[in-house]
Amino acid sequence: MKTITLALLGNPNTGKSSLFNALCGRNQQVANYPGVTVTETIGKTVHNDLEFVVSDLPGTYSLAPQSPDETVVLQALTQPADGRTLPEVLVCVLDASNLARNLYLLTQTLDVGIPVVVALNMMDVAKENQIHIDVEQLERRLGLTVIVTNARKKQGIKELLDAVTDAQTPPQTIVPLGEALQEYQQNLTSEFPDIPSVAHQRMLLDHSTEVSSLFSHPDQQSYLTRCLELKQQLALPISHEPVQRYEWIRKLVSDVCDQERRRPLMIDRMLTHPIIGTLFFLLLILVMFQAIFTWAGPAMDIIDNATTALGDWVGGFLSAGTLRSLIVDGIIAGVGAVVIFAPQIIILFLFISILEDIGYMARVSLLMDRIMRSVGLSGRSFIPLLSSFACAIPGVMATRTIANTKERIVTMLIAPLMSCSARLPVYILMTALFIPADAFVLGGILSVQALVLLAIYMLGVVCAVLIAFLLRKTLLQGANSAFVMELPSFRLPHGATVLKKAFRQGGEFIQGAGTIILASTVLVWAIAYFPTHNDSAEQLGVDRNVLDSLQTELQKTDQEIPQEPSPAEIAQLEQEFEIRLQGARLRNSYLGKMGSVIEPVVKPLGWDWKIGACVIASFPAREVIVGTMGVVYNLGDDVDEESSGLLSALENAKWPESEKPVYTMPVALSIMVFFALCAQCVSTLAIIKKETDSWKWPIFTFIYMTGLAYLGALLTYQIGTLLT
Amino acid sequence: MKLSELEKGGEAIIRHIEDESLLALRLMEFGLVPGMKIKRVGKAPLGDPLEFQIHGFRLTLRKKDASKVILERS
Repeated sequence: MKTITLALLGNPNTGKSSLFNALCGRNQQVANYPGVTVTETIGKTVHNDLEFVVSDLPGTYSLAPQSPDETVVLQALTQPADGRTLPEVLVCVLDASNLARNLYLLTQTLDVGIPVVVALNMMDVAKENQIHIDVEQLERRLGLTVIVTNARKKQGIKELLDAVTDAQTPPQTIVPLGEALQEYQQNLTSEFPDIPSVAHQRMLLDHSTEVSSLFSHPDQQSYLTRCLELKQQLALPISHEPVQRYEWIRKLVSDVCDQERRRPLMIDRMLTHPIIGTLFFLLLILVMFQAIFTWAGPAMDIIDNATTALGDWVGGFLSAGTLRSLIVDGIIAGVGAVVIFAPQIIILFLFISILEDIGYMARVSLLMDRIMRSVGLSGRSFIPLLSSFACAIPGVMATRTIANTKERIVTMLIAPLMSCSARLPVYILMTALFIPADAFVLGGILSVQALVLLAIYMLGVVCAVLIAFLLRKTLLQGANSAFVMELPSFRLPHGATVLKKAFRQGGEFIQGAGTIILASTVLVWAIAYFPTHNDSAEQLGVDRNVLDSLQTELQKTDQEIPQEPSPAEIAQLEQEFEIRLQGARLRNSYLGKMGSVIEPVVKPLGWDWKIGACVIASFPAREVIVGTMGVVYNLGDDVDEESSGLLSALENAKWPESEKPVYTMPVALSIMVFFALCAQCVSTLAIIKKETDSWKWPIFTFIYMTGLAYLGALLTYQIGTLLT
Repeated sequence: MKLSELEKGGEAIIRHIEDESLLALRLMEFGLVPGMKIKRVGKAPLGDPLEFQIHGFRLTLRKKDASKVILERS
C-alpha cells in the first residue's frame, strides 16, 4: 500500500487535536521529541487504498519560535531530527471564527515549500458569532484547496484525505517580505544547498535564540556567521514580518468574510466577573479536592486489595524464603504503592483536561496572575501548584504549559512543598497522638485537629512562597515573562479528546515513576530484610514464653479439658509471636542499625532510633512510614493511621534510660513539620529529572527540601520544648 | 495614549509598539500591528491583567506590557 505522510499544524485552540482524533481514531502512538519534553503524537488511517501517517504537531502561533513547543514545529518542517522524515503534505488547521490570526501562521507555512491543504474548522462557532466566510473566494485567493471540517462531528474528514492525496505542488509565496530578503535568502541557498530555503528565511528574520542552533550543517559555524552577517546588513526591524503579513491578511479577511464581531457570552462575563468569577473558582477548587480525596477512595481500595490478594496468590506458589519475600514484600508491594495513586492522578487530569477543553484554564491563570507575580511567577504556575496538593507528579508534568524556562523550573522545584495526599496519613496519626478528636474551638465549630492540619498545609505554602521568591532573586533570576495569553471562547468539552488526554497522562505517570519507585522499594526491602531474616527467636532474644504457652495449650487440646483454646485463639497467639519476631528482625536489620547510627543526628529533633529508621525507610515514598512504624512497634505491617493499636503503642513508647514518653507534643509536631517539608518521594524527583532533562534540579530539590525539613523540625522541637 | 490607559469598553487604533523585544514580536504576531482596532473588555479581579478584544479573539495582557502599546483615538 502506498503511504502518504502528513503533518497537522495550527494555532492552539483550533480543534487540531479533535481533528487528529477524528482522522486516526484509536490508532495513535505517543513519542517524545529528543531533548525536550514536547510529546509527538503519530496516528495512521487508511482511505482509498492509501495509508496516511499523520503527525500532530504542537499548537503554535508562528514559525518564529519562542518556546520549545514552537521550535519543534519549525524543526519538523525543515530538518526533522532522529531519523524522522519531512512530511509530504501539510494540513494547516484554521479556526474559522478567528480567521485573521490563524492566517498569519498559514502565510508563513506557504513559504516552507511543502504542499499545503487548509482545514477550515469551527465553522459552527463562526456561524454562532455571525461570521460568514466565502470559502470559494478564500480558496482562490490562497491558491489552495480549503476543506470545511467539523472535527467534533467528524465531518469533512474523507474530503480532507482526498485533498491531501491530490496535493502535489508546493504553494506559491503570497506575502513577499521584500526584495532584499529574497535576494539574501537565494544567496544562502546557493552557498548552503543542504539547508532548506525556508530555514534561511527564518534565520534572517530571527530575533530569538531558539532558531540559531536548529539547522545543522557540516560547517555549522560558517553558516551561522554568514547568516549573522547578512542579518546585520539587512537590519530589518522586529515589526517587519508581522506588518507585511497582516497588511495582506487584513485585505483578504475584509474580502472573504464580513465584519467579525464576537460578542462575549453571558457565561464568559460571569466567570471573569471580579466577585462571581472568584466565588465560582473557589467552589470549583473545593469540588476538585473533594473528588481527588474522596471519589478516588473506592478505586484506591480496590487496587490496595488487589495488590494484597495478588501478593497472597503469588506467595502461595513460593516457599517461604528470600525469593518470596522479595517478590511479595518488595516487588508487588512496591508496584502497588505506585499504582494506588493512579486513580487520583487520572481524576486530576480529567479535571484539568476538561477545564482546558472548555477554555476555563486560561481564565484561572488570568484570575491568579496578580498574586503569582508577587513571587516572580505568573498565572500559569497556579494550576501545577494546585495539582500538587493531590500529588506533585502530575503537578510537575502540568508545568509544560509555562513557556518561560526559569519560571517553569521554579514552579517544579516548589511543587513538592505543597502537602500531597501521601502526607495525610502521617498528619492524621501525629495529630491524633496529642489532640483529642472532640477538641473544638470557636463555640464548637472548628475542630482543633482540623486547625492543626490546616496550619501544616499552610506551612508548605508559606515555605514555597519564600523559596520561589529566593530562587527568582538568585539561581533562577530573570525578567518576569510577559503574560500574553489568548482567552479561547467557551465551548462544550469533547469527551473522546478529554478522556484520551487524561488516560495518556495517567499512563505516562505509571511508566515514568513506576520503574524508579520499584527499584527503591526493593532497596528498602533489602536493607530491612538482611542480614537477620533467618535468625531464630533465640538468636534475637525474643521472649519464648509466647511460643511455650502456645505449645502447652496445644497439648491440652488432646486431654479435652474445659478451658480448651479455640482455633482462633491459637492463631492469635501464633500471630503475636510472628509479629514480635518480625519486629526483632527489623531492629537488627541494616535498616534498624542505620536507625541507631543516625540517632545522634535526629536526637536534636526529639526522635529516637525507631523514628529515625522509619524516616530512612520512607525516603523513597513517604507513605510507607505508617506501615514501617507498625513493624517497628511490633504490630505487623497491616496497620493504618487510624488503628488504635499503633496509636497506643506510640503513646506508650518510652526512652529506655529515662522512662519518659517519646511522643510528646513537640516530637509529634517536629515529625509533622519534617514530613511536610522533606523530599521523600523518588517518583517526584524522577519526574523532575525527566522534565528538566538534567540531574541538577532533582538533586537540588532533594538537598534544599531535606535541609529545610531538618531545620524546620529542629526549630519546632527546640522551641516547642522551651514552651512546654 | 497607552493601551493600558484605555477605559473599559473603549476602542482605539494601534499606532505602534514602543518596544523591540520578543514580547513586541508576539503581540504583533497576534495582530497588534499599526492600524488594527483594539477594545478593552475587562480586567482580572485584582485590576491586572487586562482583557482586550482584537479582530475576533480575546487577549490578556499585564498593565506593564500593555503600556508599551501606543494608541491613537478612533
